[in-house]
Amino acid sequence: MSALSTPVLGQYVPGDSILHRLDPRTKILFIFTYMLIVFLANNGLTYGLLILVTGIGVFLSGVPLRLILRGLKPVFILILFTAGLHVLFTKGGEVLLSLGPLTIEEKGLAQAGWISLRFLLLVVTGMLLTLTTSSIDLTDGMERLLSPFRRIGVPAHELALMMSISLRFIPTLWEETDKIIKAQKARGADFESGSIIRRLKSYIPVLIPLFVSAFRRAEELALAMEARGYRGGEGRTRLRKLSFTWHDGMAFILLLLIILGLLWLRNQ
Amino acid sequence: MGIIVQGLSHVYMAGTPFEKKALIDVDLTVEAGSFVAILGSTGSGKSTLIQHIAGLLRPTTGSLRVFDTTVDSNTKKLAPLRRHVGVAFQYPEHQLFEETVAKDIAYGPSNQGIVGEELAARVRQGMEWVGLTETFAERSPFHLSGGQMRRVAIAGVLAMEPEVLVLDEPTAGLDPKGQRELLEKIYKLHQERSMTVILVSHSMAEAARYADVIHVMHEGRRVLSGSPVEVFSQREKLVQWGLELPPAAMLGAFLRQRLGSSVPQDLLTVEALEKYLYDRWQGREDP
Repeated sequence: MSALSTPVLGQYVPGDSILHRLDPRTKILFIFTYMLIVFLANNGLTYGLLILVTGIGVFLSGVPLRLILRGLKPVFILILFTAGLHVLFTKGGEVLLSLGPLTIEEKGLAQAGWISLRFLLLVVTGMLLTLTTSSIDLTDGMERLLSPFRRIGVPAHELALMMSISLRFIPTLWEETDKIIKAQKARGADFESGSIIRRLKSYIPVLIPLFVSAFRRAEELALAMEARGYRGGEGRTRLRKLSFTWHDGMAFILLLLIILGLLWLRNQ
Repeated sequence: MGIIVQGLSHVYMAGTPFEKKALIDVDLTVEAGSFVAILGSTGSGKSTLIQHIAGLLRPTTGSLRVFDTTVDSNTKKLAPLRRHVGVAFQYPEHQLFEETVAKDIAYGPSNQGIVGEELAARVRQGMEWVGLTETFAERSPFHLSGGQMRRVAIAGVLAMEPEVLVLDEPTAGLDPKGQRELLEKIYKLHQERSMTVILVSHSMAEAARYADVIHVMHEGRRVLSGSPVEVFSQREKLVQWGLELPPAAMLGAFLRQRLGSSVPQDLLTVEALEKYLYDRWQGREDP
């Protein structure tokens, strides 16, 4: 399987939807609050509300559902694993099935269901953020959100720069990995058979060249940045200015409504 | 025998917004023992094509046969193809990883199951083919010059003794002397061992000098094939596809404009052009 044929989980999909046009700061704050309030949900009604909100988000993003489902594939394994643990080890309620020392009980099954759902909601909303926000917008938003904390010593600009460089180089290193794997395969490397140890060992010819090239790239990048006069965040102006519009106001009102709705519904 | 590509298409990331058709219905034949050049501008599908031949990509549709191994979209294992084909990608020195040059060259052949004295012989042979002396064997590949690293990487491919050697821009980033030496060595191997060579290149001069057959790719399609003389007689088309004539042929074309059609079209190398001009000058009538 070629790395180029599988999009990375949550890779930015260019578009012009309402979600794409929202200010990145709004999206980041919204998603972070959302991730906290997911834990307020405790019954069918509250989970129903969250599913509805997430579903509307997916619909508004204009990202094909197929792409989101495909991105979720690796996450499903994790969800199944945690669900399995809950089914087996959370006790309480009626015993539904018992196999020797293992019992599957009512509460375990319920817990497994809720936890999986919560997990799924968290991942999908997180993905919506990265699917609809380019990495430049994302780091710009982060930097602006963190800048009030500069006074207490948070290096907002440096953190944002580190983040944007890492994000920028994910696809590059991904392609590089693909290229090196192909080159070693062409030299008869076998990554698929043998014991775990053997298979891990077979990746050494991939990892060493990858590290060498990552260091080379880092050095070149540092040189190129210096050559273009980079000297840290102090006094640096910006090309793109972020600005809130009425869309962002709507988003925050919506968020408030969701929180109030959750608080009301959880006691129903 | 040789390589037969039939109706080969390849789509990257099918079914996503990033979908890209890299190859569209490509038919192509490479005779066993020939030296073939594949030309095309950036993004024309050259790299995708050779990755299929090297058994690293599965066709989306269509099929290809390399010697006795056939591959199509349903083939599960591509590894059997790789037995026949050795490939050096662009900047192959980026794949070096071992502590010593000798160990790195031995990686390919030892993956083929070769051990002991024969393995050592393969390593020596590989180094000799690319013109690396014995003194390099125990040095670290990371402390060599760019040109030497390139040779080590190509020696690592040659030591596997492939029937088909695929080279993706083997001379990119080398100085003129390094470029010339490397290609001369490859050409000699091609002649002595009748090894099939597929050269992907941006250099019209390299293709004109070494290739028996040239295939031109443009936007995922094979648009022109033929001998160097045939291909380089299509100047307008080549320019339209983002290519050009080799320098000597370009000069020949200008001379033809000045001196009329008596200047032949098959002067593709500097040597051929020089010989023609010298003969013509010798045979000139004094005014």
